[in-house]
Amino acid sequence: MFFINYMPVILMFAVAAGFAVANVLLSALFGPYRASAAKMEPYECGAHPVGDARKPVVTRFYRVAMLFLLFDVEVALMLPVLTVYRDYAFKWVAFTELFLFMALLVVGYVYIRGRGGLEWD
Amino acid sequence: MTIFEGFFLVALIGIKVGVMVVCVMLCMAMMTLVERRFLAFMQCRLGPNQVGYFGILQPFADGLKNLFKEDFTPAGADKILYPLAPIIALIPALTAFAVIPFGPGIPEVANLLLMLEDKLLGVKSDLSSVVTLTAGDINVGVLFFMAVVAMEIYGVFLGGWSSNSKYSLLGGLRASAQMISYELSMTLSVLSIVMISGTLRLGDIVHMQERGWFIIIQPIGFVIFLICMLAETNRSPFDLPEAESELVAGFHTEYSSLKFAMFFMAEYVAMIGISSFCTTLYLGGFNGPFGLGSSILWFGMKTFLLLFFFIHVRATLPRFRYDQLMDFGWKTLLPLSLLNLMLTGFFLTVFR
Repeated sequence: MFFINYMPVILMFAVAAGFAVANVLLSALFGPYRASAAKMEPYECGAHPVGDARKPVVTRFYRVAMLFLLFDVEVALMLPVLTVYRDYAFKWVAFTELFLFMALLVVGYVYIRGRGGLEWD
Repeated sequence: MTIFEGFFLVALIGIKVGVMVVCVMLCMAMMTLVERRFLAFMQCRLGPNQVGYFGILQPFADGLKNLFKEDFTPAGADKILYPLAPIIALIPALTAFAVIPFGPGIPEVANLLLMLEDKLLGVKSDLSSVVTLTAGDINVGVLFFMAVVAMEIYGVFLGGWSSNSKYSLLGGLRASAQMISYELSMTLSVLSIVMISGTLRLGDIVHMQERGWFIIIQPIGFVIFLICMLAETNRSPFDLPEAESELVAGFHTEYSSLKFAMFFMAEYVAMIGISSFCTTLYLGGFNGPFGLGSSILWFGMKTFLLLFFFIHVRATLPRFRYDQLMDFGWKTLLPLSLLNLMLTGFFLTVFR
């Protein structure tokens, strides 16, 4: 029964993958192919490209990714608790636990914000 | 369950999934036309109106044109990741539809299928999960949708990185940073719904909204979701990854032919998918307003309203600056969605 329940998702993935791969193959099959050195250059508004594009980039993006990871792990931790929150027997205990967890999260958030971790300049 | 019964079920599901994908792709094609016509209307132009009645065949003409264009790979592009990126962008956009409940089951079809099964195999199995207008209403539907939508970042970023062009790389970086930032607030506002309904199955969430839609008790969450929806699909006013005036076309600058079209398909399919998700969570899914019964037509109308919102925003609002976008996401939306979650927990505890 487990297999049948998840069958639609697997089939949907298979159909989507088939469609996507077919599209890429079709475009390679039908179009003309007239390569020239100038056409193959990466586009840089008409001028010859300067250097390689894959240079090290600003660490700001890395910082955003790291902060995202922190907060997303907390969200993932909260998810099972919130799913059964309604049916919890001692409701004020549940609320206090949620409040404490969120308070910790907010302390972390205020710290990051105070240290200028969210500034983009 | 015998093996023939299993094959019968899988075949039915396969037919359903096939029909669903075709419908979604048709909606996507019509969506591009509606967008171009409406943008033209807002700018006092006519828009594409020559191919077919009202330009209704324009999307198909565009698709054919793209098919016969040259498909080239720029020098220095990654040979494996470059063609793989549009595939990775399109697959999650389509797969996400697997869990959306489009409408209630149709009893006539159910009876017909039961009769067919009885004639062919001589058994009467439980087809209740097969005849609903959901591909698969799995018990972790909300989680599945969020996870699959998050996967779209890979396609966009790999496309930007593998092209070996500076514009593409910047577009890909911008897109990934923006999408993960807004995903946090989106997940938190969705969690409030999970908290109220106590289930991750989208079908159950829709049934809980028969008496009242969740937008009534979650107005802040709805607004946050609407904003994050625009940012997640890289739409105006959050379309910095493909800002024409600074980055040429962003992450798909170097793509041509159907590969280029696939990024557009992925964007529009993702738009339709996320609008359907929003309809399911906040606007009552396929339930009509004021207890007016439930039908797939209600679902279509509400989803189209949200899609129209996408287009209208694009026609009306100017683009954000990147630091404004990040400030808004991290300093306004994230605290607001945390507050919303906390308030939901509080009211749920008091009024239960």
